Amino acid sequence: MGVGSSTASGKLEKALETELPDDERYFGLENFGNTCYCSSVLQALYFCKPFRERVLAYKKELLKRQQELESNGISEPNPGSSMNGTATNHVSSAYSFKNAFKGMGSAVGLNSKKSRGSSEEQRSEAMLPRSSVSTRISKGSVGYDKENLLTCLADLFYQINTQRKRIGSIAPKKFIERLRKDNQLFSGCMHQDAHEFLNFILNEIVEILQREEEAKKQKITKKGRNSLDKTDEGSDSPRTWVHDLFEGLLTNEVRCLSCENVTQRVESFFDLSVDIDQNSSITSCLRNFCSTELLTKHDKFFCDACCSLQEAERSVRIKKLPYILALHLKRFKFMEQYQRYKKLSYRVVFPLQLRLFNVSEDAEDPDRLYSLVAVVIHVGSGPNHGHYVCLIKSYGRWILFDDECVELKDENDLEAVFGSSFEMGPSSDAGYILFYETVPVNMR
Amino acid sequence: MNDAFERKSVPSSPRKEPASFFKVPGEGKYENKQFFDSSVRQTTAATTSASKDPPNRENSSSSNTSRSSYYPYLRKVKLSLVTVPRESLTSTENPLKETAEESSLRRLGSTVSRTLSKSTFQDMELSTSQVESVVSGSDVSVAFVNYGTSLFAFRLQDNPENASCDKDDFTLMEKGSKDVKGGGDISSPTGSEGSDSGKDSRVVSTNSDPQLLRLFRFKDSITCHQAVCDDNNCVQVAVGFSKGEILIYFDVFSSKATSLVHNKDGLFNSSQVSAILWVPGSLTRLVTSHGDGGLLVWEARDGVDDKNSSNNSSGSSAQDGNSNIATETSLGTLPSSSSPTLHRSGTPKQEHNKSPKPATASSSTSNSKGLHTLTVTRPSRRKRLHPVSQWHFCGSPITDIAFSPDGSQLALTFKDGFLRICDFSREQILFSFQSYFGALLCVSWSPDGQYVATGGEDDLVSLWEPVTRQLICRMQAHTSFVSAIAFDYWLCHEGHYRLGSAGQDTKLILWDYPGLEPVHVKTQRGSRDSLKETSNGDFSFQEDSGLLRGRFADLEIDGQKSSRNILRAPLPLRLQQGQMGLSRSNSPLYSNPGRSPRTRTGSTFSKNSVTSNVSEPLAVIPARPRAKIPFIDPLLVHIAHSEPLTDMIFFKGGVLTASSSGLVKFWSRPTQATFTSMSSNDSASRPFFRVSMEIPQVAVDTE
Repeated sequence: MGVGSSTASGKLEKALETELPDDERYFGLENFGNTCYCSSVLQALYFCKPFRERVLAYKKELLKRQQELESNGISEPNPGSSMNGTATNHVSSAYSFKNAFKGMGSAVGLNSKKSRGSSEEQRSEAMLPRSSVSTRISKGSVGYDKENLLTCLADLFYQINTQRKRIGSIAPKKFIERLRKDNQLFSGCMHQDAHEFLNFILNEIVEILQREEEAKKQKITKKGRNSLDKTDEGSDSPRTWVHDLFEGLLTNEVRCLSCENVTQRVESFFDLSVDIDQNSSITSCLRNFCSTELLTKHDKFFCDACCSLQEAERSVRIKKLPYILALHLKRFKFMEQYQRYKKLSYRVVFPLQLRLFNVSEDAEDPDRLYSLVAVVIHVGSGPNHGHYVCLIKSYGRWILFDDECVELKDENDLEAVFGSSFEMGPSSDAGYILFYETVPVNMR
Repeated sequence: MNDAFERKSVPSSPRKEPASFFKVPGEGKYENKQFFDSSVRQTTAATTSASKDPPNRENSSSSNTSRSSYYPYLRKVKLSLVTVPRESLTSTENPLKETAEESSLRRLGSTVSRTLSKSTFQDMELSTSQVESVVSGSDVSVAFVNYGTSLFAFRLQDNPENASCDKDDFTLMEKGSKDVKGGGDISSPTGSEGSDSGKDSRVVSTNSDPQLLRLFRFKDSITCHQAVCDDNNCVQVAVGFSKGEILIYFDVFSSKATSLVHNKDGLFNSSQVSAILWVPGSLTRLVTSHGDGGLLVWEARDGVDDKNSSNNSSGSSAQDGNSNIATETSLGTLPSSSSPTLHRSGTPKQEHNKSPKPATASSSTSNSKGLHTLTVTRPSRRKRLHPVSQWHFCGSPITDIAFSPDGSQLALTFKDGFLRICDFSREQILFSFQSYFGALLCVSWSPDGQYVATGGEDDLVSLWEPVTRQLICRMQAHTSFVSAIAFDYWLCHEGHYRLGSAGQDTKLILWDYPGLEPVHVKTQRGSRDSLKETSNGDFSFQEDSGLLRGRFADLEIDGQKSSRNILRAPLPLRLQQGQMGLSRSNSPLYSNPGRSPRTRTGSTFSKNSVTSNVSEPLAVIPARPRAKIPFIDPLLVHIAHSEPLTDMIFFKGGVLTASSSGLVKFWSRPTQATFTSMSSNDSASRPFFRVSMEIPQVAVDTE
């Protein structure tokens, strides 16, 4: 970001004083070699308030769990208390601190627990027992992984959230390591697709939560009076809070034109991947996504009611609107002739507010109003190279996260990431994933 | 801004520049790139033949080719148009060669008379009076186009040879002036600019392309402008800039042209001018809306009376660096009498630094919310070059403004999605309408003052009726933001309204309300719905929009033919119908239990049925659910440009559209035949318009 960022961060600091609340942290995420796909999505998720709240709640629970284990009489080493109070906001200091801490940790028999800045340390102390516990209590029997993507994410969010300074940067090393361990796809240092990562992390969290839920149930049935008395962990169903936030339902409707009988197939989604056109809006892309198709001639539909092939109308509609609408613009198109992906830097405009057309009639609140909260932007010309940055909206201000850099932006700057309106234009910065959050509106 | 994103982007290959489109007769080609580099602005100002100084084009074009920068924002290319008698133009020292002009004028005269014998204009439904004015041939339309830091004035040839249909489209294209891009070309939606340019460069050899009358260049980028013509046929144009400054040129085409700067250095408002309007019926008052929600009223001729005394400071003498606009003025083609020194003495900056508060008498209308507040400040004793009054709306940027035809009311659209109707003289908000979602970007008032049309980021054109405070209908066909909307004053009469809208989807769309052709009201189920569905939709929306009930219900029931009378019912009758509708709104006949569980509550309706209750404090009419408002399909959809459109205006000869790349196209109105040929079904874009002319494309100008 070089020269520009100094003034830009100055602007941010100014805004921090006047407009942005004291308890909000704006921390860039350091790049570990093409990890911007991950950082940009993480920032979007972090600033997706309900998501962050739930992750932090999960973290709290982790801590609670440890304290309980702790109080259950597990011996407790006393690590690194001397290190307390060293806030690490600068990257280099974070490194050195981490290394120091790591050394210390190994000295006291820790496996590679990550360092966290400042107040995080008490937590890491608190977490120390857990590592020994989890070695004792085998993974399968309790259902809690010693470390998984969600715990790493929770740690990271917690780490950001408890920073003393309000802006700075953080190295999400543990999370990246875990991610690379967990998924072959992300294992290398290659440039990755931010949407794939979003998809992966949401599904992974769901899996982890469901696994834990499952384990808890088992535990309760097996040893009903377990001292680990978790009262409030999500719902009992495999439905998780990720579902609550991101899940929407699509119906695939086929309407027989002779008997008006409607056959429905419902599928759920966490995000919608929409095809894009040049000089279009996300609104119209969504309308195309849900366009109606007529089944005639060779394409007739076998209607169960009519017991014959009939002309029919097929349409995809949104049956349940998600709380957070994540829209993925299909900017990477496979070109047959080149046998590779090409970036479509089409100009696709997205409004700050959104309502969806083509919501099925039985949907609850069909006029639900969304407000744009984050945009993951792809910069560059192709899927395998380039860069991701993220624009997020926080308390009415737009903030750009570009790896470790954080700067304030103007709302009008969003126009710069719509894309390019001419075909042969230079590869441009283009909105790639849009996050819209529900705005409670009473429409009478 | 750019720096943030540019950093990691792949170094862009030089943008494929379209070759020049336009050649001024007798001169060399435009060099597009000349506009890129600000360092050579002084020379580029003189590069057109419109300028008085002999251009050193070679220098400027060569020194500029180095830098090509991608500009990610949509340029605010705006149009305005005045019609002046031919004499008032010819009397000026026209920069173009006399011969060229004379010949083209002759052509103009002759072709007009020839084509009028045809029935073309009846097809276009031009009223006879307009035809006559064309016949007279004495009026010339002058289009102003701003692009980047330049303002162009072109004379449009209302050249019916191009605009008429006396021959088949394609023959015309052949034989005509070759600028006519007929059928094939236009239907290919995104023809590369490169290929266009080749064609267009040929165009210019004929005389039918527009003549560049004036070119003004400035230091700041222009965001809007408006030209008017006074009784003496003096054209005056007001120009708004990105930093809030306002420049007014008086008597643009005469040798006595003068100019004046208001809001110098953003003294009163430093945010960009989003729209600028002359108050109707007044050639001295103007209104500017600003990006911070401010609206300023100016006395245009402030201090111009003593212009003669300052006239000597013309030319390039009077400039010291920071008075950017005035400096550049001298480089324009006007014998500029603008004297920054004069202005400076008029508004000593020290006296009012940055945000002067001459607030003495201040009135404010506010409601409980505070969101919908208007604060009006007016100085008790106004100094010269100070605004007459300063309005401030709630902080959301104003995107566009429009006066009602009688000038009594002002409609404003806001970035926060509200349309506000204000009483201009009383300086208060009458009511606020809310868009379906997203910002509203443009607004236009119907010629009879009955309706206000807006376009916005919901991709919809919305038609509002201020009198009843209702959203009448939504018009859906754009596939991107709607950037400009206009009523066709020549085709709006007797309760029939023709609208045009231009969108960032590159489309020009015409709408009829209630339309010559049966208006197809569709529900959200799409156009493939069975009749049953449609009527369902009708009945569901009838609940709330009583006005439409009679009309559209009849229309559907009577089989889409016999409804024209109803549709064309004069206004009083329609209102009556509406009220009848309202009174019947609870009858089972009109209520649809299935579709509208939440029937309107009393409060809605009290709002709707209020007629002309201006004294009511403030009404905020929130967005209506989709299912409750009828949707109207377009009359005609046409991909007009390959880049997003930024503006469109109707004039008697047709339609002008401008795209973000600075291309302006001139379209004749579609004929009746056009509509019948397409009335069958889909309104997909087909080449119904023909381009009759294009003005030069000027290249991207970096900030």
